[in-house]
Amino acid sequence: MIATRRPELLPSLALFATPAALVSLGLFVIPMIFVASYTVGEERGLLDGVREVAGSNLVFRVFLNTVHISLTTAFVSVLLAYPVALHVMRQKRLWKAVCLTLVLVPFWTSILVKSYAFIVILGERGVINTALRAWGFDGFDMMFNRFAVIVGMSNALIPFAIFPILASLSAQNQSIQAAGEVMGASPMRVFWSITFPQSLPGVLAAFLLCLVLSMGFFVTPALLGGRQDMMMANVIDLYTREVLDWQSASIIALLLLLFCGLLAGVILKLQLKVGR
Amino acid sequence: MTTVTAKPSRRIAMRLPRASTVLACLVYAYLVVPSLVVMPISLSEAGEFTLDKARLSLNLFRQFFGSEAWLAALWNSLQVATAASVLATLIGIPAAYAFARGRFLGRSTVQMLVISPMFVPVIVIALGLYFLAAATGQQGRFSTLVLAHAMYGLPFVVMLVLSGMTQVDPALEKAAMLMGASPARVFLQVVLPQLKIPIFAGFLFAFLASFDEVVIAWFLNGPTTITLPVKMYSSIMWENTPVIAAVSTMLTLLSFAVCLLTMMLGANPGAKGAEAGR
Repeated sequence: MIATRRPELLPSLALFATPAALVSLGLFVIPMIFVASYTVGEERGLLDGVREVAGSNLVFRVFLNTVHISLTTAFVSVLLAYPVALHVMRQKRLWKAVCLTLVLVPFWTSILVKSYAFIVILGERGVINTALRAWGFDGFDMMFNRFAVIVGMSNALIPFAIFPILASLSAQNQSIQAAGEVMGASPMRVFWSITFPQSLPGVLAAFLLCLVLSMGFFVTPALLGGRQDMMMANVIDLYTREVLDWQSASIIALLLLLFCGLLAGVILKLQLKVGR
Repeated sequence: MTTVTAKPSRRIAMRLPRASTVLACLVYAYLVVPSLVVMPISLSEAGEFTLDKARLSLNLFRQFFGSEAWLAALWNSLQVATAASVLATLIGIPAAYAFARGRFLGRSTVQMLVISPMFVPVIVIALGLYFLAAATGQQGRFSTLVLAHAMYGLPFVVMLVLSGMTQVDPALEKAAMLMGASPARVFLQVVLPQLKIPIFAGFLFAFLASFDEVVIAWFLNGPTTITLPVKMYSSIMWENTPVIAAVSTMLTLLSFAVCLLTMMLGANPGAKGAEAGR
């Protein structure tokens, strides 16, 4: 009682946060400043650098790739995540835990393992093609193209899409659905006119989250895609370590950061509006 | 009246869940099957998928544990992940306590700063770290990678301990303080014992995050600091040896163990977020 009335009794605890703040400063803030400062090159100014990046055919194609792959992946992920969220929400105690485990284990599995698994499944001599040939069909070319990248990335992003949708489904007032049912609405009608519209903020949050995450993907497009499926992260790697053009790499990185920041801002706004 | 109308609707209700349940099960399969497919392949002789009856063999695991390069990568990963997660835990716990209870200028700014690496594309962080390491001549050093991974794992520790702090009754701390305990003593003797589970879970996730991390390790690697994910990435990229199937199996089992352990402790952030309506 006394302590709550006299805040000066509470310790500041600033020292407790100092080591963590120093680590963040040294290994996150300063690296970010490096990226920002390298956008101004020694020979080219910022404007010339931006002009060169903007005029580069490669960067433009990679940018279109990133937008196309990210939008498709986000859409597919949300579409596939919705039935799972609905299913998990309807389960009782033990089954709910089992279903959540089925979502969480892939969530915590290394992206390398998942990408490698799709090489094994989709590859020329992979699971699907071997099975098809055994049954007398011709094999398909499913690797090193956009299809493989989208399959691999959706697989990685579905768990991220499930959580916001599940949250918005679980937060709904069940008595409204019960009221609809009592008044004779069919389950279809209850779903489409009560449950689904109320879950839309969760769906939108899931979509934007997948979009932000997929724009920064590096491993999956590098391993499952071909040259024509390079994404922004891959082109940053290319410019840094092979072309040795650090200025262009920094400009592309900042562009990526800007895009993700804008999308993240929209997500935060949405969450505030929904009141979490 | 209600019983009359509820009965037919319950009969129809059997139909809709069935369609969505089938869909949900297909998606569960899409999520889980890929990592499972790798396991029988890792136990085959040559590491290839065949429909013929293949003998089970530990050949690929033998190859892994017989290769100096793979063992060195595993050893590097274990060292980096242990050092980074211990460091992240040690600095993350007091920080989370300060964010939950402290009163100082810029508290929320520092909190946001510490958590923000979670929301920035890893490639951008990795690029910055690459520039920093190049400018200070710290490239390819073990310590650089440990510090970078500690920064990367820190948000997991802080978020878990912060959410654990909501279960800690501040009255106990106030009582201890009124009886003359210093902030350090309150933290060590009153708060810490109540945070065992979130601390353990935070440590495990920071460890797993570092152990599985590719991009930062890829940008910071030197000849002596190649971690398991980096070795795996370049192997898939350039040689595609079947040993990768064995590595994948081991990594999947590790994720499964960590996930199950934290779920049993009730401290899995994914499960928690789903329940609490994140």
